[in-house]
Amino acid sequence: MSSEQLKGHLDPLVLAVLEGGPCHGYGVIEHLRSRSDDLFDLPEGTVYPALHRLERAGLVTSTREIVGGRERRVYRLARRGKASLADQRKQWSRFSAAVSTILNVSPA
Amino acid sequence: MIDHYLTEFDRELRVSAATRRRILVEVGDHLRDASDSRIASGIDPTEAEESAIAAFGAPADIAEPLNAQAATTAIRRLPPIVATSGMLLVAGLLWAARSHPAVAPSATMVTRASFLVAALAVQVAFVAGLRASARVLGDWRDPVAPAAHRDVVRRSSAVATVAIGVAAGGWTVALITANHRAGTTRTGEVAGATLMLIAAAALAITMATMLRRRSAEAEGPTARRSAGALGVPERVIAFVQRYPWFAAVPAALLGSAIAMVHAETSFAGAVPWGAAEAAAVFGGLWLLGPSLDLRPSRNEQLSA
Repeated sequence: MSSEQLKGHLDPLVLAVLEGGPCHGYGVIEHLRSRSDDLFDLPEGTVYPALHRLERAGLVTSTREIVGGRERRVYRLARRGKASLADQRKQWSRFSAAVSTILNVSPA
Repeated sequence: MIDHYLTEFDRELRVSAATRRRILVEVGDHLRDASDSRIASGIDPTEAEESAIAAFGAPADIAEPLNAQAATTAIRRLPPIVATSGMLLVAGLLWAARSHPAVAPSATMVTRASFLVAALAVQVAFVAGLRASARVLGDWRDPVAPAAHRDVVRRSSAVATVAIGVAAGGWTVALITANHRAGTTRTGEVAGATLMLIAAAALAITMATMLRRRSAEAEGPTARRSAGALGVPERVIAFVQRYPWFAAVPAALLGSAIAMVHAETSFAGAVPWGAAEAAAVFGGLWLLGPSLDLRPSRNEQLSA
């Protein structure tokens, strides 16, 4: 799946990764890759604009911490981020159900 | 190799110094982690670095959305800066007016013309400042404003800056050339004019500095959040864009009424002032409408 196809969906995906616990940028990319069975083929750097955007929106917070003996910027899901993720899950369910319905019944 | 990539990345960034430091440290950490991970899996160190850099993406592509975020922060500062300068301009005028309250009936043509140009310019600055503020408020809940919206704020703020400069200059010339009563001191006028000119100059310098750092016009994510109540001014402007004449008539009438009150003459004597004000409102909408995104330009109309 290309980065163009993922455009607009990256933010909820990053929030979902952070729901599992605090993580640094490289860790977020590794989680996205492993949880999608390597399907998401996006440039690794694209995660940083997404993380910064989410932080500006107050959906995640970040601090500098020691991780594995190295100092890293670690991101956490904020309270507003949890609410936003729940909201985006509902929207995605409705959207994907509608797309699935149309794709299944419409002739090619 | 990673250091070379970071140098390239640094060159592409159009962000504040603090954000730049933070991003470069984060990207450097990421590339070293990715490289170490590849080395641990048995890849040659040089190849590991190359592979980590290739997987990260081109510096320009990654920097672009970060620049758009920084540009959004920068344009949100413009309306308050313009408003502060506008308030200082008015304060300077009031200060000067305390010593020289009004343009005398015997005022020279230069005084009258300068005063009128300044009076029109300050109205343009007010409208342009409101336009910029409405656009900023409309996108307030989005961390990245669309490139077209950022451009409207920049253009409107630039128009307001020029108008404030014209107003400060016009009023200063009016004060200098006005007839003065014998025996009056001009300290207040000098102080007021100085304040107006400083406000205009400070705004022009600030705007030039901020607009010089303009980034590549990257788009933000396509999904946008509802502006809610903050979007009301923008909805009013959308109405003006759709029905410009219908929306401009009340503004012209209000402007006429203010001009008539200001002229302090009989109704018949004030009518030309009111008519001139109404014409200025329509003329301003026609001339500056496309720059302020209050009406489509001729090219936009033709392409539509």
